[in-house]
Amino acid sequence: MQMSYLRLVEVSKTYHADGRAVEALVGVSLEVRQGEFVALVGPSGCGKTTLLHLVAGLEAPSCGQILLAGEPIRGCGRERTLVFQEPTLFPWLTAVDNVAFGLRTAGVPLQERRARALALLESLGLDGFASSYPHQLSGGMRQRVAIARALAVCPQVLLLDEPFASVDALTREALQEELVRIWQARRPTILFVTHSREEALALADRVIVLSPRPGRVRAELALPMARPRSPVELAPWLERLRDLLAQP
Amino acid sequence: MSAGLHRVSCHDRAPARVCALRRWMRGALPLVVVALLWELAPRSGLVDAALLPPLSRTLAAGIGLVRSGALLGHLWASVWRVGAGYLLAVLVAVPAGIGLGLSRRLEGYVSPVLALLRPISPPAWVPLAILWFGIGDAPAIFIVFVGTVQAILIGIASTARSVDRRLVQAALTLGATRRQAIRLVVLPCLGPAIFGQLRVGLALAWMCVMAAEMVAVRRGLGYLLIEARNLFQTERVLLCMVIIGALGLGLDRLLRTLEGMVLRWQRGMGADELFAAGRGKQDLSR
Ligand SMILES: Nc1ncnc2c1ncn2[C@@H]1O[C@H](COP(=O)(O)OP(=O)(O)OP(=O)(O)O)[C@@H](O)[C@H]1O
Ligand SMILES: [Mg+2]
Repeated sequence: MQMSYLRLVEVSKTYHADGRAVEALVGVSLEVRQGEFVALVGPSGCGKTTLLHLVAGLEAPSCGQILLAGEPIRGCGRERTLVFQEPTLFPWLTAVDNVAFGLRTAGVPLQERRARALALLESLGLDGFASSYPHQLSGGMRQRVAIARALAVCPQVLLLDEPFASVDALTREALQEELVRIWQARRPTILFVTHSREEALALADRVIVLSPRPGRVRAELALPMARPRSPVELAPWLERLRDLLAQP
Repeated sequence: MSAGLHRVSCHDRAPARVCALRRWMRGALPLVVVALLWELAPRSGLVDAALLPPLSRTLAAGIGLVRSGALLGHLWASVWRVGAGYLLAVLVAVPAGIGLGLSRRLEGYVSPVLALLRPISPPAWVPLAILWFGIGDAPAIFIVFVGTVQAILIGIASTARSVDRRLVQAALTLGATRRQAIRLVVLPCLGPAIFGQLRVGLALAWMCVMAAEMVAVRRGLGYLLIEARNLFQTERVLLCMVIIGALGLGLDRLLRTLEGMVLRWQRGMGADELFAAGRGKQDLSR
């Protein structure tokens, strides 16, 4: 078996707000291989977003360690990009400039970063909207721009926080296919948070089930089947996942 | 039902030129009304013409001043003082305001000083300014500076504190350094607030320069005003006031035009459109 690339070792996170301590994660250990597609599921408030923020380096764990390729992570970095749960496009930039933002901070010249951003937008079906501002786009389009923005810097680790939560079923399926296509082409390591059991099972190599707050790893499901996966194929897994999530 | 439901606002259908003309007329109409009242009220004897000379006489008083070249000299003196003091204030207040808004520690050090200085109104600075700088441009510029700098600073600092942290986080995850995050995210976030503060500051700068010129100098619109009062020239007093108002208006327009160019992305985002008269109810959802 391949060595793990991203490792969380006994990671805990406690927030302190108004003199009250909120335990979001307790002793979470996780090993992710390079290029693996891992889905995280768990009840609302169990610390999924927190986990992604820790891996992104936006916050530091209260205890434990996060290692990337053997090195402890320090702060944010272009090799780990995050698509946030809420929309976070820059309202003063057009779609193409939003996508090019990471390249801009990396010092890529204007012409080149525009061209690369345009190509990405095109591959996500947004070619006509490159010069639209975020408020002129639909919710689903904004989400696609956000994904393109995270992909533009060619990250090693792509962190997705319920990226398809706000789009309709049809768009959702199209975006899922698109994501799998991009993943197969570039092979980033993906941590994918979702509320949808079906989505987790359809996409991931492995599904991690977290317990209610404070979040711990309750179970893992490894899915060996090739994609695309049929609902019939997934039915028994869905049953198991439902049981796992239903436990108190 | 009613015609109002289907009426289309100018914004949607009319060509841009017609739109601009309508907007312009909307702004000019109240001015015309005021001008007419000003002219007719004293002429009809409704108010005492000695207290409020008609508009035409007020303007005629200006012609003499313009001919002699005196007006232009006074005007230029005031504009120069406002410009210099205001620019200095902006150069100090905008970066300092952003720094203050982003750093709790800095704010802790500076805010007591600001709180102490804030109640001291611009005219209260005049005696000190004269003691320090004597008579002339310097004390006036100083007063414009102290009068505007803290207003701009406090306004910008308070909005810098409320910049959406998600956007900064997004920038950081995309590899931005702290510096880049400030330049590429915080600054554009603050754009609208900065322009708002710049406009407030400019109006303040005009008030300050008047306060200064009424005592500290022998030239400028403020001086002209006080001198006219001393000579009981009501026309001149009114004329100066009109000029001050018009200049302020013109400069504010200039800033707004600049704002419109810099903040193009804001177009069509404001809530004002939702309340536009004659808009169908259905449109509110957009
Ligand atoms: N900045 C914070 N300050 C205080 N408490 C926080 C903060 N962020 C998260 N929490 C708490 O940590 C817990 C986990 O939050 P988190 O956002 O990670 O949940 P989640 O699993 O992503 O939930 P959801 O599925 O609803 O998005 C919650 O109880 C929340 O109240
Ligand atoms: Mg969440």
